[in-house]
Parts: sequence; C-alpha cells; structure tokens
Amino acid sequence: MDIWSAFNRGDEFAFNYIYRMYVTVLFKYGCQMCKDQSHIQDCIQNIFIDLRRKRGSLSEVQSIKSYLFKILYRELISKSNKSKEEICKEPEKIQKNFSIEFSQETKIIHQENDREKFEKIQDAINKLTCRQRQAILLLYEEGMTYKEISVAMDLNEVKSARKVVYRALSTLKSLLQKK
Amino acid sequence: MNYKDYDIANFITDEFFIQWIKNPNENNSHFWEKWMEQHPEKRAMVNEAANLIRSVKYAYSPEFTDKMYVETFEQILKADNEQSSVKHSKPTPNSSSSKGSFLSFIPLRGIAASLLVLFCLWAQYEAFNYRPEPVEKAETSDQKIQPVWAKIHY
Repeated sequence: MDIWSAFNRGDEFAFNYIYRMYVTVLFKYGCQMCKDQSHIQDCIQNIFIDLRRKRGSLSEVQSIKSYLFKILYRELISKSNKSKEEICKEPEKIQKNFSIEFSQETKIIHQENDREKFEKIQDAINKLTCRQRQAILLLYEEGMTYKEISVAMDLNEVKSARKVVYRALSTLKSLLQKK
Repeated sequence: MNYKDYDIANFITDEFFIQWIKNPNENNSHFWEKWMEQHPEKRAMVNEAANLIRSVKYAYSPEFTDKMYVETFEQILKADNEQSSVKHSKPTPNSSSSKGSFLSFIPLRGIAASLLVLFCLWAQYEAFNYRPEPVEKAETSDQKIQPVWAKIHY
C-alpha cells in the first residue's frame, strides 16, 4: 500500500490521511468491545503514537484498516488482561459485545410475510456467538474481505474467517430460503 | 458454481458481491451491472441479498465527536514532540553532556564565558604538548561537549 510506505518514510500527509480515514471507524469498532469511550480514545491515541515512533521500520500491510483493527483489538485484550476468547466469553458481555442491529428500512417491509421473516432473522442474529457477530459485522458493516477479517480478528488463516461467517449464516440460511 | 446458480445464501457470503454492495468501484460495478442485464430473473434475489447486507449494523454506534477527533490528534503530535526533544537533542549547553547541564546552572554568562576561555587555552596547551593520540581524543570530546568551543579553538 502506497500510503502506508509514505507514512513509514515519515510523510506527514500520509499520517494525516490515515488518521482522517480510519480514526472514526476504529473508535466505533473499539466501542464494540469496551463501553468506556475514553479508554478507547486512549488506546487509539497510543496506537498512533506507537506507530509514529516505529516509522522507518514498519512492515508492509495489505490493508491499513484491518491492520489497525487488529492492533486495537490486541491492545484492548492486553489492557483488559483477557484472552481473545475471554473478551467474547464473559457471560455478562455475551449480549453486549459486537451486538448487531438488523434494521431494514420500513418501506421495504410492506408485506406481513416479509415482516415475519425479518423478525425471524433478527432472532437468529441474536443467537449468534460473539465471535460470529464480530465476523458478520466486519463483513457487512465494515465491508471487509475474508482476508481482511482474518487479519482484524487475528486469525492465522483466511479459511478460518470464512468458517466463522459460514457457520453464523448457516442458521440464517433456512430462514432466507423460505419464500 | 456460476452466479446464475446462486441462491440468496451464496450471494450474501460472496466476497465479490459484498464488495460491490459495500465498496462499489468501477470494476465490480461494471461486472455486476452487466451480469444483472443478462439475468433479469435474478434481480429480486440480488435486491434482497443487497438489502440483507445493508441491514446489518452496529447496535451500539457512539459518535467520535469533533472534540475527540481534535484532542486525539493533538495528543499524538504532542507525544511525538516530547520524544523528539529527547531523541534529537540539540547541541545546546543544557543537553547531552554533564558538563553542559552544569553550565546551565550558572546564572552569569560571564562566568561561563571565562570558563570556556580557560578550557580552550587548556585544550590548546594539551594539543601542543601531547602525542597525537591523546590530542585527537581531547579534540573530539571537546567538539562533542560544545561545538562553539571548537569554533573558537580552531
């Protein structure tokens, strides 16, 4: 990525661009894991400070967004002294972290049939695990590719990201195919 | 499997399709528009898939306020300056060497100046009286501590 190597060379315009493009989405993403907004703000600040200090020796990245998501994810895990699994496993957090709102425009749901289907989908989404919701949000809300999702979720293989998504959607499949 | 055989579940897990909905660009739009023209019977399914993709949102979506935006940016740059002032210390008397920081405590510039003159005289004396090796040492350490003296010296 050109912007990233310019940033690595110390180009301030590249830094400004990266900050402008990603700081807001990073913040929103961070808020899915921790409700303390000022803590997220601090983490993001530290991430950028750290990246600026490492300029000149940063490794290449394929997707700046997913890389930033990954380091924020890692930062939040290390700050909370919880493992990757735990940040999603804590019982009281299961319903809170990465919660999904399934909101279709009301004008689309004109038929009773559609409304029923819509509610069923919403129910099915509510039953997904935290990791599944995380993957689904990265896929649809953030518009990431499977490769980017695997980076953001700190998974070793793209295959693993696909697996999480497929499993999440398998419960929705039967609902979707009903006319 | 060809796109024409896709059901809705296939569409909503297809990267290329999702990218067209979420991040449309020349390439994916060009393809999908052409494809739709050739497969009008799939239009309803494509619309439904697109709606499903667009319907998934963060339930909790707090705003990153302008205040936060500016504050964070400023803090990042501030940390940068703090670090660079330590890292790239300027050759001023109150940095780097212990001799330098000692000088900064003396209130009167006159005293500092006379000490400098004395030191330069001593350094010159050393240069004339010692073997090449120690002379080099004296000069280099001299330069490191106070480049201004070096100028006076030469």
